[in-house]
Amino acid sequence: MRFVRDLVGGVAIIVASSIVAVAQNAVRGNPVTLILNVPTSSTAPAPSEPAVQDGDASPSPGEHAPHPGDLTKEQVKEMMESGTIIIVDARSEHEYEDGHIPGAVNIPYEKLVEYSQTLNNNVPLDATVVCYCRSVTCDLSDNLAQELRLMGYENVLLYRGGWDEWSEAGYPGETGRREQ
Amino acid sequence: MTTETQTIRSSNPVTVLLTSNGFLFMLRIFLGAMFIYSSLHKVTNPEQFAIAVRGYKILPVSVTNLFALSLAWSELIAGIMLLLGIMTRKAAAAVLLMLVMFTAALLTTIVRGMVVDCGCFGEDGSSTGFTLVIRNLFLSAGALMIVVFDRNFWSLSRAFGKRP
Repeated sequence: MRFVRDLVGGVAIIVASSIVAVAQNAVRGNPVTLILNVPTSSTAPAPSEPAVQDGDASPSPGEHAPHPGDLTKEQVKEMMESGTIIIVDARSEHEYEDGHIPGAVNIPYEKLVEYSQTLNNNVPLDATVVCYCRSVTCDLSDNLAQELRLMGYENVLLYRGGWDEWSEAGYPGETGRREQ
Repeated sequence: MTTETQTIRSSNPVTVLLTSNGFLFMLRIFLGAMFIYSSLHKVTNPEQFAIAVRGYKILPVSVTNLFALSLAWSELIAGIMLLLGIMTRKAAAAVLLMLVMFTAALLTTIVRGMVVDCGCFGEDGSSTGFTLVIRNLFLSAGALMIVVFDRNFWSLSRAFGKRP
């Protein structure tokens, strides 16, 4: 009985803390929007216009099947070479410096707020943005794409194969940090 | 001393040690300090913590900011209460409830095959996985011990005359 009473007390502490949180947010200089207005595009897969139509873009046997709206490595390479996209690397600074797709801007997902100035400087809202992270098992690029859509970016695509697939394919890479 | 405490003291030495005032006090200080530390970055940078919460893809995106704010302040306030010994068992219960929630969230990412930013200690960059689940289970066991056995040893509650 005492245990249940303590648990109820614990819930009361959490509820009271939430009220304090909302009150503190109201008097903050830069308050957080409590209820987000979610744009429709943030919940739907990004639109996909295959950049390569000659069949090279099809994943070879053994490769993962891309989700709707995802790009293959061939498509990313083609779009990168044509300069029609901005590539964003969602991995940590350390991983980025070890190797990344040429020209990619590093926006570490866990430091997105800190890097928001870099984002504003490098990526206009109407740009076609391609996010990638380590590999198909990594969710940072997907999550970063969701955040970019919430921030107003309308054309955000994913390259799920990521740096592992890119480098294993023998595609060019860069190391170190770019001026951002 | 209560009958309950006397029963505990008559059992084996490990139980006696784990339920002693000294051990429970150290556990309380450790958990309280850890929760305060983990909350500081979240309270001062709620936007980044909300991003980590959205990464789990459990809650509707629209409420993630409110949830992140509430959670950050709950960690801070429960941590302070635990550290100072204010309504210690209830504060430990709040910590326990949060730890259970964190563990459930971690398990859902594992089941869904996701690896996301943990968001546990701000920008430490740690990712979700079984290691964090095991760590949380140990912390939950510690919080549970405080809820069940704490006797307000060296606490503000006792200093202000509240009986165990």
